[in-house]
Amino acid sequence: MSQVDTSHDAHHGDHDHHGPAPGLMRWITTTNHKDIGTLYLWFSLIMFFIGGGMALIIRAELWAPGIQIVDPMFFNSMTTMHALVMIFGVVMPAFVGLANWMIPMMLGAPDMALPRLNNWSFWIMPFAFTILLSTLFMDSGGPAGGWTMYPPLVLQMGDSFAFVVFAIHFMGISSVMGSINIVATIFNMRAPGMTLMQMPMFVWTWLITAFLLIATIPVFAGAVTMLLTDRFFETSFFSAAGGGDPVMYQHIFWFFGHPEVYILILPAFGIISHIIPTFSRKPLFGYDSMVYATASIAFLSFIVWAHHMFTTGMPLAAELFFMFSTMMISVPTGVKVFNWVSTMWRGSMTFETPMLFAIGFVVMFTIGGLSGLMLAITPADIQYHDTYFVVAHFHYVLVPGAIYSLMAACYFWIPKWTGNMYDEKLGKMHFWISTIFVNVLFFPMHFVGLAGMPRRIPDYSLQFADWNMIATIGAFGFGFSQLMFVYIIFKCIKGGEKATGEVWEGARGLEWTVASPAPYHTFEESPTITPNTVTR
Amino acid sequence: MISEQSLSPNAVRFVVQGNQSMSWRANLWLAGSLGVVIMGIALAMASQGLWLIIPFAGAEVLLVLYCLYLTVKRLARKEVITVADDAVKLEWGETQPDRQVALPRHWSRLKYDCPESEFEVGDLSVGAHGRRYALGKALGRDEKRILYNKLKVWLP
Repeated sequence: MSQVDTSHDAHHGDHDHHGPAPGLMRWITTTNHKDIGTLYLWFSLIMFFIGGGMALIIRAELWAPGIQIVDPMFFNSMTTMHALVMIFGVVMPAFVGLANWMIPMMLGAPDMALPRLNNWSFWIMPFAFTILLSTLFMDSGGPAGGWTMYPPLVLQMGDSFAFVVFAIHFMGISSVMGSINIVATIFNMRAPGMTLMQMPMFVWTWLITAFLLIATIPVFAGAVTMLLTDRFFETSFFSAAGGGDPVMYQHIFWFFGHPEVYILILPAFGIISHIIPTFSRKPLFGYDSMVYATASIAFLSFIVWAHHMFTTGMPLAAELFFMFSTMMISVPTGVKVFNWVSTMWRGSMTFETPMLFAIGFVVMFTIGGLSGLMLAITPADIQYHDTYFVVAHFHYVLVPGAIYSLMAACYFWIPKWTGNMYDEKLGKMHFWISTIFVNVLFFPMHFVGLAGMPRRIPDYSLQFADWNMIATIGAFGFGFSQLMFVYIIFKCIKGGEKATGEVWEGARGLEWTVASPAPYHTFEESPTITPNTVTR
Repeated sequence: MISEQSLSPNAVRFVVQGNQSMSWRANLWLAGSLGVVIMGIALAMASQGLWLIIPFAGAEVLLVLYCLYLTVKRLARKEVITVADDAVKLEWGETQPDRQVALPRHWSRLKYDCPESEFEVGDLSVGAHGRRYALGKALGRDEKRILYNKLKVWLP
């Protein structure tokens, strides 16, 4: 009997051409972009409930004035951990998961450029978050100085601080490897004939997001390492006593942190730019301007960081510069909102669940954007700084913004992933219940913030009691309504009406040309793109 | 991608290669541009005393360069199948072949197994005298079948 020589080039490359391995090993050893995308999405869903549980502890404590349920130190740990988990464990991995699933299919590529690196990028994440969450069970407790980890406060933390820094480094490594993979894939593996300006918006927004990550992660890695050496090796990078400058930490943190905000929202813009045209049955209005607006937002995100630090005291010229540069971001963002509305204008619109979430995104993200514009005004910001108004602002951007875009994306693409349609009635119910409660949760925060309630404090004055009680009702309502989302996902995976390849009547792009569910390997044979091919 | 070149009435050459949408030179420009931005930021920070950013930035630039190199190297790899009068020549390499195999044409047999499941891409190989070599690296189910049908005309 002869033996096939599969050595060297006779071997099938990185990805397994023989379908998925059976059992658990499929998921541990997989290099298939769809498998890894699925892993990222499940991971972020689990972390969503962990971070959400922390939010509910915070809101339960804030149900009434006075110390109710947890001690103040633990409360501060919860606010810090909630942010770290939601930013690095939910929103970012979920977008990476969507990128893994969709970018190769949108580009007509067989897989990501570096499949093994892709596997590592994912599997680092569970280790990183196990380390991070384990600090809650250590003697010195979890990090409690806020997700920004400002010195000197954070340097008062116990030995578990080293574990926090270690976990952050792992998250950073994972993000950088994922970003490089995305950049390599987009530039090198586009289908023959596909120009950059023929790429779908989700691909464009991810490309720009990947550049942001690549540019900023080393700064963050350096910043936390300097905190580590200040804490354990007696350096004085940020210690005034040793000649360092604690405000300098804030500068470099926000040099990373503000682009990070756009890392959390640019892929959301891409998703919405797919959903609105699909359900309006029109091409995206102003595709070119959308691309340029995304690039402009990314560029501006590097020159606005000090608007987070107006109260630290800085020269008037600097205050003016950062105020006006921040306000300038509203121009390209406004272009985007205008284009989405113009796409809907006179479209043959229908309101399936993804479209409802997309419209919810546009409306409520705009509310968050407008309160951001208020915070850009230096004298006003000095009043609003560290109040619940800021909490309301960024939660409007991140929950009905980023999280809604993720929900919309799941409903939009799940028929392509599973081959089954989700339960439309339950999906719409999920949207309406979520939308009611998310506003009950976050809108009152504007009022208590403007009235002066400080953030990250477990106790508060009596006059804030009513709105806090309402916000807590909203939090529990929103939190428990997400169990519905899990039920809808499981129901869809188990079965349901079979989806066609195109799935949605107005869907455009290469990903809709493959069968539903998408075969384990797609576009191993590159499609040829002409200037007239509809790819976006 | 499969390209076919007729060498004579009795000989043909197939070149099998994955798709590559950007040249190595353009990749170098990309890595260089990213390097300038990343190191520029790191050096600016270092000028303020925050030198610990430099090793992270440097490591990242090297990683970017290595990943792009690896991607281009993999995508540039070709498989050349030449069916000549008396031999089937298999070559693998990038610009030059780094591995070659020759089989006697009249003893060479094609083998193609493709199960029904759409998860399976199938196995295509050619063999003679007890040795077989897998063909169609970087090809999917449909394209591998096309290659099989093309080769079947020349080989039994």
